[in-house]
Amino acid sequence: MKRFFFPAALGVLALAFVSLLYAADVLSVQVQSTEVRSAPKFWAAPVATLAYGDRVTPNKQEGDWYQVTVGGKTGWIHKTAVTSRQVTLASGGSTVSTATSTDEVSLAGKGFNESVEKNYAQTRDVDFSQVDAMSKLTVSDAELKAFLEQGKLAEWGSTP
Amino acid sequence: MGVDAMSRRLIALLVVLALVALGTLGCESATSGATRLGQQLGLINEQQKGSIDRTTQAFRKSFHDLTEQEEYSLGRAVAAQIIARYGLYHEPSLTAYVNRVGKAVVVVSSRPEIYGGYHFAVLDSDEPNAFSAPGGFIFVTRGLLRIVPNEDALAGVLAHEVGHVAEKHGLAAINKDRLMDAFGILGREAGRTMQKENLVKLTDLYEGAVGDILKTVVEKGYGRSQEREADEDAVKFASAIGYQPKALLDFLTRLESTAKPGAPRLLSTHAPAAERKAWLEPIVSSLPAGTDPAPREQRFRLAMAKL
Repeated sequence: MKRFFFPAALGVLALAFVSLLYAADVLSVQVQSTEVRSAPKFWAAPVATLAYGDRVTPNKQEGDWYQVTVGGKTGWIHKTAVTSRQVTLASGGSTVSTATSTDEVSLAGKGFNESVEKNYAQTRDVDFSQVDAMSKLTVSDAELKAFLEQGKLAEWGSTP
Repeated sequence: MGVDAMSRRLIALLVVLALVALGTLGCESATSGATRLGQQLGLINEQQKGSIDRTTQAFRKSFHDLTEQEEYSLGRAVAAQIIARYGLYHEPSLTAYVNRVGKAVVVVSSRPEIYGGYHFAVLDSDEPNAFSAPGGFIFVTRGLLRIVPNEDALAGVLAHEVGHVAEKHGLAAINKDRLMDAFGILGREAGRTMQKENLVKLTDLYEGAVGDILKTVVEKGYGRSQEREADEDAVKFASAIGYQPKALLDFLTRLESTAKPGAPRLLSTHAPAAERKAWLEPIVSSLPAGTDPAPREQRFRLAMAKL
């Protein structure tokens, strides 16, 4: 049995190493949505859109940005948009109000989130409507670019 | 020459050992890679792969292991409580302006992408202060905007809050036992259905976690080292997009000089101005000075006229 130990241990390590390499390749999008951009900056034109859970395999990394190819189009995403952890989505899902009668709640693969948040909002009487409104306010790419340009910030900057 | 039954069994055993080893180390991405590899090799089937992934989910250890979605969910609830406490100041053009300055520093921060994006709002309070909730919900009070002298100083203030979010300081405030209990329930129930009893328990833990974060953000304030980190991020992020990093320093000097003896400290949940200046001065002098702020003067005045 002893003579099997060393090769077996090596085998385990080799497999672990190969697994890490295999896993290191694929990244999952961990934000609601993100644009794949024509250049590695946030005001560059988008070439594709990715959603939460989408998987990408980067071609290369330059600084904080990954170059990826999505639907035949090549572009850049920031590393904070993705994770090497597996992001799983499950289909279906019922709300708390219908589920309490059946004593079960479908998590829809989202952990804490939907069901617990709904239960919390209902049972603790917390108003989410203003947070929702706050979340809807966004600054578009065009707005950001115009704001930076007008303010002479970033690449439009002038030294005093 | 094919792989015989004995060798296949040995390989399968090694795969299992590797999975267990990696799983115990809490290496979630490696085990998911391993299970995928195992699946490709035909050694484990879809169902077994699912069970192994769910088991390793249970080995979450700290607030760092909260997902982006979970952080966002907690942050939303904290934001809801902040809004309930102070009220929002509904001035669309002022709010839009604050969001633009905020976005300018977000895109050059260490964490520009976050689950639901960063969002900024103005609170209807005369008390000068700024708050951030996990998930990117950032607030400044009317009281603070009244004393901020220019856009570059505002950028520094907002970048400080972005720093707290980027470094997950709010999540770090969650009581560890509470978090471990939540991870335990989530680990056991991962991916499928949850018994009502566990939903109730989990909701209690969620409420507790939200309370822990809220208490730190609006009452106690963050610890000194976290405040320092956020201040370092503030000037780095602000200067990275072209704002003058010294604007935040100048603002802190102004805070010091306007402080009334015996009155509660302005920006009470932050470190005292003198301390902040001490750790900021060497960093600011090492950063690019920023672009000419004159082009930003008029739009700042216009926005603040809505206060």
